[in-house]
Amino acid sequence: MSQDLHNDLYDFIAVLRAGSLTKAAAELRVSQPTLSAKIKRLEDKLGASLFIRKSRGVEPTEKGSWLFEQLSGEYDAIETAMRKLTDMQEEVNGVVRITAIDYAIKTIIWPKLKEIVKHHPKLQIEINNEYESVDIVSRNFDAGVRFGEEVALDMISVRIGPDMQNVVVGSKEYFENKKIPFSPYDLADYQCVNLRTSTYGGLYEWEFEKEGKSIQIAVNGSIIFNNAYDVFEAVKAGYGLAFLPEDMVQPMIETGELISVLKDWCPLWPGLHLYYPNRRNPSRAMNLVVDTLRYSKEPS
Amino acid sequence: MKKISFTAVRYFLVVAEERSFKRAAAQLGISSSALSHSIQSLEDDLGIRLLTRTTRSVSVTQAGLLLKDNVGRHIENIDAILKKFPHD
Repeated sequence: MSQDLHNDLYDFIAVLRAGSLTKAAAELRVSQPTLSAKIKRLEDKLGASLFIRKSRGVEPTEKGSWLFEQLSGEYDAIETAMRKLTDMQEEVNGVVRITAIDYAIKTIIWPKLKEIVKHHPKLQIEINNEYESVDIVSRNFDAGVRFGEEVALDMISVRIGPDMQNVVVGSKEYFENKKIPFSPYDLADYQCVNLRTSTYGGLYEWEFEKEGKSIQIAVNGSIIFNNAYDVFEAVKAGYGLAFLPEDMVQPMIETGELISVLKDWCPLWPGLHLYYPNRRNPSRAMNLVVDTLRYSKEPS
Repeated sequence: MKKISFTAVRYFLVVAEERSFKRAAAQLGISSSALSHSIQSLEDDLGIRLLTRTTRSVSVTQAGLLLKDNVGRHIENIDAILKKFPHD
C-alpha cells in the first residue's frame, strides 16, 4: 500500500472536520493548493470523488461520507495514543547526539551537560568521541565540535570555549641533558609523540606561528596515538615532546614536572565551537543543549 | 503536537516487527539510511526513543511498544476499511 495514503486520509478527515479547505489548510499548516493537490491525489487513488465543492466550503459525497464515518474513529484513536506518548514528558525530552574530540568532551561538554541531564530525566544525550571532522547530517548527529567558527553555509556555529593555545611540553626527566629547542625546526632532533587524527588520515602536523608567518611541522618519534590523553600519558612518562592544549598540561607545568617550550611560537586559536544544521524548528532538547554549552566570558 | 507522519509510523511498525533495519528496509523497498532517518525524526517529533539500536540488533523501547500496540492496530483497521471502500 502506498506510504502517503495514510497521510492523505488524515488530511481528508481534517478537511471534513474543518468544513473548508482554507480552514483545514491553516490547521495543518500547509498551503491550500498543496492540500487540494493531496485530496485530488487521494481521490484519484480511490477512483472516486470525496467532496462536493460548494461556495461556502465543502460537503462530502456519499462515498466521502462513508469513508469519514469509518475512519474518523480510527484516526482519533491514533491521535490519542500519540498524544499519550508525547505527554509522557511534559518536560524537555528527546535525544541529542553530539560528536566531538575527547578534549572537548572532557573539558566542556560533559562537565556542562551532566548538570542538565540530572534535571531533565527525559532528555537523552549521546556523546561520540571522534577525532575526524565528520559529516554530522549523514551520520545522524545533531551537532559536532570543531575549532573556530568556520562551518558550511547551512550550519550554525556557536562558541563553547575560550580562545585556546596548544603548547609544546616534555617532562623534566626527558629534558635532562638536553638543550631546549628554540625554533620548531629544532624539533627534528627530539622524540615527539605523534597524534593520528583519523583512521585513514595522516599524523597531525604541529601548527606554529611567529611574526605573522604560519608553519606546520611534521614531527618524528617512536610512538603514535590517536587521542590526546594517551599522548599526555606518554609525555608524563618521559617518552618525548608533545603538542597539547595548555589547560591540559598547565597544572604539571606549575609543579615543574613538565616543561613548556617554544611558547612564543604557539598561536592562539579561536576556541571550540559547536556546529549544527540550521533548522527552522529545533527541538527543545537541542535548544537546551546549545544554551547550556554556549560560552560566556563570565565565570559561571 | 507536531503533525503525525503516518509514513514514519508505518516504517516504525515494520522495523518493530522485523527487529532489523535491513530486513525492514528491504520489505519497504527503501534504503536503510532513509528508513533510519525517518524513524529518527519520528522519535524527535515525539520526543522519545522508540528503538534501541545496537550493532547487531534492534529492540523496541517501552514507548515503542506502546506505539506499536496502540497505533498498529488502528493502522491495520484503516487498511481493512480501505479494502471495503465501495469502488464503482
